[in-house]
Amino acid sequence: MVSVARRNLFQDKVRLLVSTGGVAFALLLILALDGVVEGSLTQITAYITNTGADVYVAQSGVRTMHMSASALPLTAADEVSAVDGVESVTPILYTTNPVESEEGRSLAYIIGFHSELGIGGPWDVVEGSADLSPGEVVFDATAARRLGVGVGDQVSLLGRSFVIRGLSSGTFTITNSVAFIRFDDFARLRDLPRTASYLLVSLEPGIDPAVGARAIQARVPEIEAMTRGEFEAEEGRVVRDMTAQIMVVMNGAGFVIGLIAVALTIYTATLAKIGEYGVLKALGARSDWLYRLVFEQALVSVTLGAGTAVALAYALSAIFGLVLPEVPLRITPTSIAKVAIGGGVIAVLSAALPVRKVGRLDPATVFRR
Amino acid sequence: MSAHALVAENVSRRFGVGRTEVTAVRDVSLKVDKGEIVLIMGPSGSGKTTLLLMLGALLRPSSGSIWVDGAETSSLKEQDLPEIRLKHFGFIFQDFNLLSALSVRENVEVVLNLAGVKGRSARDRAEALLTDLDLGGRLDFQPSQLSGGEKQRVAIARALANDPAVVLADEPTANLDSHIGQEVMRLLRKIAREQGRSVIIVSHDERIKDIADRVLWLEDGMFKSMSERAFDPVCGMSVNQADAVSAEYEGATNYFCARGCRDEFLAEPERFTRSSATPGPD
Repeated sequence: MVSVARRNLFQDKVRLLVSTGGVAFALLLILALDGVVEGSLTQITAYITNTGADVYVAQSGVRTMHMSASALPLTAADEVSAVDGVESVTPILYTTNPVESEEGRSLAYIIGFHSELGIGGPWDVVEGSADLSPGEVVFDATAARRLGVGVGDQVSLLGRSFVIRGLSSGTFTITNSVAFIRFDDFARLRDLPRTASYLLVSLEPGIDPAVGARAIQARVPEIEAMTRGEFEAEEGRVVRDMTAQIMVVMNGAGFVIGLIAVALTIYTATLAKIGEYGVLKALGARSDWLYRLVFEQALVSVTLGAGTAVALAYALSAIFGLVLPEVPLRITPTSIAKVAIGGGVIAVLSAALPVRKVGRLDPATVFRR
Repeated sequence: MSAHALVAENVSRRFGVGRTEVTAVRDVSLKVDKGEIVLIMGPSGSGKTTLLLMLGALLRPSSGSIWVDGAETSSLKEQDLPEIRLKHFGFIFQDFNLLSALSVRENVEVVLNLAGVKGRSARDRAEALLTDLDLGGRLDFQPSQLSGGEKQRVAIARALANDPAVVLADEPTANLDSHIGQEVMRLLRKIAREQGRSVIIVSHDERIKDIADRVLWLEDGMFKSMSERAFDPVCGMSVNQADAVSAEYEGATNYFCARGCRDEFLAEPERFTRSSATPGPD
């Protein structure tokens, strides 16, 4: 079967390049933005993911860390510990505060943890140690580099000076970093005796986290108990809500750019071939056959553009990982599916106008030139 | 009807309505036998193309009936006409009208595809047709790589792809030099004589008269007798003897489209009677 659509499309290489490039650029915009948000979500929820806790307990009504403040009496830890299936409960303190050096400042999540328990602290120490003495901090390695400090240097946070004892990895996000200090340092500096922000709960082996969380919630009703998955999802939702509008705008821009690129290409390609379509009609091609031809051209353009966009997005992701690790670009199947659906819609819409033109084409015009 | 490949009865075609109405073809009847070559001639604007369009199921007549291979096409719905064109007609155009993005073979193959012939069968049939027309060595060429004569032969192969009963040719030799034009005429005659297809040609090319079984003169949307027509020796225009301005010279009557041509002729008659094959002052 002769594919007139593909032959027409590949006949004019420049036009094909413009079309594919336009679609690729537009869809790459969508993919990259999605990738940055998804990557940031991974970073932002990295602490929740990596503490090792099965269940998180917060003040009643508090379901996130980002943009939230939670305060629980330490007695709540004893109540939770008494719940069947609970193996251990580790309180942490948490706030958002700048970390300052002589060269600048970096907004950070400050986590107060029990370094001797090994839970709730940094999970990937790349230099130094997480075994903290009073007045010591484990700070994110990327943020430390930006502030021009390293292990043994001093930084200021929560209003006093700390010595960097260790540097951690995976604790930097597009908006902030994470600094870990001792629980008692945090409590003293913030005057929070017998208080925790969150409780990190480990369940006995074989206990389903959802079952464990429900049991804790039932036993201690004045708190908020969530599985790690639920807590991550809630955290992600906050970030998504915050970025939703910009995402809509940027995705819309990408969609419109892609639509214009393909629509212009298909329209000009159709106009350039309108005489030949007239010939085909005169020879006996039905209108629906010609519609399919136009649509196939649009679809091939979009498919080529989308494929290029996905390949570029993965390349960009790898480059970002090397050059700009603090801005992660994570390409997900959901993003690719979104681009595929968007591309399909672009193909249909961009073919609509030329299809009308072809539909109205009078085959008799072939004889009237 | 079966003795005829194509029959048109009292066919008329009007464009516009009311005061702007124009009748391009009026009450034309025509029967074309199988294997017959019919040449339709006439001045520009005489309705030749409109008639060709109606015969080829590209335009519906305002009144009258058209049959091809025994099937009435004039009463069919618009959506049924493409199939009639595909199965019953082969079209040959003045400008060849090959699809520029397709190879020579694909230009023929695509018409077979449209008719439902696909894959190897379509490819083999296209190759056979093209080889018959001495284009076996050009199968993978693009139209832009062909000469005018080769392009027209590809167009002829395409016209024959679906084994049509009737081939309609619109000025098939107009864009070809005389030698290639003769070659195309030979092919059209072969199509009629050896394959039994009817060939209807619309053309201004006098040479085609040599291969035509019948020559029809269309003027003002009506067929007129060729015997009543004469050529103005000054401007070369075909004129109806009954309506024309005339002048006697050396015992012969000459007919003119207008007084101007007659006066020009009478001022210098030898100039226009030296060679009847090349009318016109220069």
